[in-house]
Amino acid sequence: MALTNASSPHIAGNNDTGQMMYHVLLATLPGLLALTLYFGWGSLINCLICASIAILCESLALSLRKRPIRFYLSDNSALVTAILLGLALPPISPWWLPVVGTAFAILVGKHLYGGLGNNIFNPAMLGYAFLLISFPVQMTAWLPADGMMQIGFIDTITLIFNNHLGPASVAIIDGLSGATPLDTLKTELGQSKTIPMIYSLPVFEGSFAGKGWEWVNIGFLIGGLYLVYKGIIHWQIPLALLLTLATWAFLFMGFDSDRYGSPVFHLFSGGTMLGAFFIATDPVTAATSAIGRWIYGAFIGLWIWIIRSYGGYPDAVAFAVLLMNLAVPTIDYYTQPRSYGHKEAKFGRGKRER
Amino acid sequence: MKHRVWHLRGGIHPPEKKSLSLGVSLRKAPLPNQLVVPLGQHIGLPASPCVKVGEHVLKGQVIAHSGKASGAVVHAPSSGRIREVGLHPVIHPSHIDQSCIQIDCDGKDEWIEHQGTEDASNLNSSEILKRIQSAGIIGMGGAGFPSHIKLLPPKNTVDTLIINGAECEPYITADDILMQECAAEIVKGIEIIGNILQPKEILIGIEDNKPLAISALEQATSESSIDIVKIPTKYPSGGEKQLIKILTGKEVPTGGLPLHVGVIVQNIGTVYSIYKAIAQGEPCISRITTLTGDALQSPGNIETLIGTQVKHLLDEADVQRNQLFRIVAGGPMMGFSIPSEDLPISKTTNCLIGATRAEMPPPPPEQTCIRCGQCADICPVTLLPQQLYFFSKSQEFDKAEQHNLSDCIECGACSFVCPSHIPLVQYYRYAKGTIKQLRIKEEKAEASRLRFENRQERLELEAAKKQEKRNARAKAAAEKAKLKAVKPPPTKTDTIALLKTAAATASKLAAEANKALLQTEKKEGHSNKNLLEELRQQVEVLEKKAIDAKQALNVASAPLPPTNPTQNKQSVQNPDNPCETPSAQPPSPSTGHSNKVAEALTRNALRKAQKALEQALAQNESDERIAILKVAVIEASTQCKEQPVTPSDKDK
Repeated sequence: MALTNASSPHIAGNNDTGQMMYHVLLATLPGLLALTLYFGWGSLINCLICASIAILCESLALSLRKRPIRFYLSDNSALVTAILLGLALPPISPWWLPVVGTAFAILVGKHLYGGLGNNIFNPAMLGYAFLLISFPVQMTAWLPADGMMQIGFIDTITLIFNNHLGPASVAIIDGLSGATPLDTLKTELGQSKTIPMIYSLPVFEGSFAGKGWEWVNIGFLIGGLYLVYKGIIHWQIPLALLLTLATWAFLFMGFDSDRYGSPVFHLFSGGTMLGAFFIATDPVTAATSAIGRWIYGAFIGLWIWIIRSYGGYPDAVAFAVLLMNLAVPTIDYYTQPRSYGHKEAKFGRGKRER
Repeated sequence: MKHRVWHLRGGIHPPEKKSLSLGVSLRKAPLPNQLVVPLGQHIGLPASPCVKVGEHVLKGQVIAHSGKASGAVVHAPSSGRIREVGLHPVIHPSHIDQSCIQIDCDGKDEWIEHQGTEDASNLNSSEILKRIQSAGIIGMGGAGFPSHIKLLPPKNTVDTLIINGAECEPYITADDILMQECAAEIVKGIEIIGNILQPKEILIGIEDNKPLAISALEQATSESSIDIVKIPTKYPSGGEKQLIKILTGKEVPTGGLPLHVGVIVQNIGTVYSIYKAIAQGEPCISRITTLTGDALQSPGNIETLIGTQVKHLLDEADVQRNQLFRIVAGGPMMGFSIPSEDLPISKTTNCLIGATRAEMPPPPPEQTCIRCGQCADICPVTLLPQQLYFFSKSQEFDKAEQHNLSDCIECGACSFVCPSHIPLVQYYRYAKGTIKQLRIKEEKAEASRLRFENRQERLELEAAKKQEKRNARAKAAAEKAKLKAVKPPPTKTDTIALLKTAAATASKLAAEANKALLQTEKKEGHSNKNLLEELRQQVEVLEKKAIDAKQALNVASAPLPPTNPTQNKQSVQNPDNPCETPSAQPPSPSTGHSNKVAEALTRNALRKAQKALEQALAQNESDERIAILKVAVIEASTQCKEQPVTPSDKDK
């Protein structure tokens, strides 16, 4: 046998990008389960639509870019984008909403930037923000958390695929859908109600952060902790994010508890946990060094709180993440770690001065 | 007292695979028929051979001298006849052939006369260093730095002597087996080195996956002050800088040496060689090499002569050639694959891995980097490997340097953990190599720039000096002129010289004009009478001027030359006419002003003449007209050159 020539190292660990992405998908299951239990089959169907469209768009983009399709599909990154978007969409959104969002996320958010590893923005959040700005009505129509039994599987499919057919189905949706706890908070605060009054509304009934939502968030928290345990995501970003969010919420609750939500409410409602463990930790678009991750996570937490408290949209994870995606090069610029044998850390781009 | 162990950041735990070669005790390789001894085993220029082809050498005889004090001597590993001195492929990452001495062994293994000193405490350190140098000992851990240089630091600079028994790379057990079987010799070797360096403490760092080695050494050091420090098994804790951090908490400054933090590190193999050189007088002609890998049926550690070919050793370990897929010299993390079994073992070859395909498969295709940061988590130098990868790939070398590329020790841990199977170390090697080349280029450019600037400076200095001299002379001349103005006339010789030049120029001009006339005549015949007439007139004028000039010269030569400034002024001819020749009268040196005017006028005349000529050329006028104009230009320019004969300009 002819001897092989190769550069060192001659052995490799069994790390694999596809496997990592697979574990991310696996970790979304508890959250997906909670969503399905409280909001019906919609989220599951969303995810399936997103996944198939993502694979389709990814293949299309790869073939246009003359890349080996099967090889790049095997990194599972398109699936992760799709599932994260699917989880973030309202459960009874019309079928074209996930289709358009996923196509935008994969084609514009990812491949126009040069594909996996080169995108500046988190593709799933880019898709989400795109949908939220373009179709605000559909994007804010959530179901009340009345359990999966409120609409059956077949009914959900009919709703998702037929709701463009006529006013009848629109009426059904209007009858069913409602605002999320965050949305409710925002609207009711706007009508000069106080937080304790709002907490007595049915959407908060018998819960500490919104009916159903707290369980969804706990689901994502469990999945996230699994990822941290597996070493797939770095713990700095979620910890910094949650700590900052809780701290600000705590400070302002102390300042005016009638107008500002509690830390627990902020941590366990909306997309907090999904954002902290699955969105903000997307390595491609996050800061690089350990200190950088602290800063990046902390600022996302801050932005989430600011946008939730003062912004025009009820939830803020997507915008907070996208904003900080923009800041990543700057964070990286200043947070190079101190290397062995150096007295202090360097920063900057290292352009030689002449 | 238990010595403190500092934490090493990062690092990995690759499968150790050490048990493969640890089952059997150290054996000795049978004498091969042929040895190929590389001359460049150490860092630096290769040694130069001092034996001839056909010569018979004894075991331990010097066969190549080091040119410089920093080199390492090479000895014959066994007795025999020199067969060839020339290039041969060697174990080197570049796969470039190196000069080697090939020896046909005679099988007698006959030693040259040698003698050691069992009790080295009688020897002073310079004697020991001399013996180490003449034994050709180099760092046997891999770098191959000549030991006699390393062991000669400035006095009282070494606080800690570290003996590196970490052996953190998977597969390799050469140091382990040596510590197990020759602990006493190693301790004696350490004491010899300790005598030279006089450190405050001596530490042996051993990874805790070598309990047998640790207990053997503990027994051997029970009566000495040498500290054996068990360190956690982690790759690359055996890297020199990493081991220093683990054992002392100090960091070798970037670009610096361990000595800068008062540390010297010696490898176990080196220590053993030093012991043999001092105690037994044996030069470095053999080493212990681990033969391992799944393609070898009887792996183990073997004491082999330097220059033994790989195939000989693999045969000794019962290699299954149909299984052999890759041969790695060194460890799996930092060693390099070798292209052929003919390559010889050198002083730094601590391991040979005969790997099967399943054991070391070809690398999977590279995927895109997702910046997962696992490489940064395990980097023992706290670099950002993913950034370095991007910068190297996009050839942004200044950014790569800003991210401390040069501190990378190429341990390969980042490549090992990369989920996208990116051969990161290869990218860094590429970037480092390119940066080195760019730097050489830059240095060359810088050197030539300096050269140019120096030259420029020198020329300027010379010019300035000249100008100074000139000014001084002008000043002197001006003073002289002043004196002259008070006491005219100017010296006769001066005037005569000037007049002579003027006369010569005038006659030259006349001759040239004549020539032009004749040429035109010849060409045109008599068809263009007007033109010829014009030319003739000019010639006449010029000739007249020449005569005038000569007359002036004659007058000047006569007793009293009455050169008059006013006359001179008149002598400037009408500058509007470019064909007009100015007076051949030399300008008087006494009147600077009028001279300047004259100068300006002649320059003006020249410019006009040139312009007229250019116009004529541009408008395709007749040859005659152009010829006339040419003559005019020549005249005017001669005049111009002739004009500035003011004393101050004389030097020009």
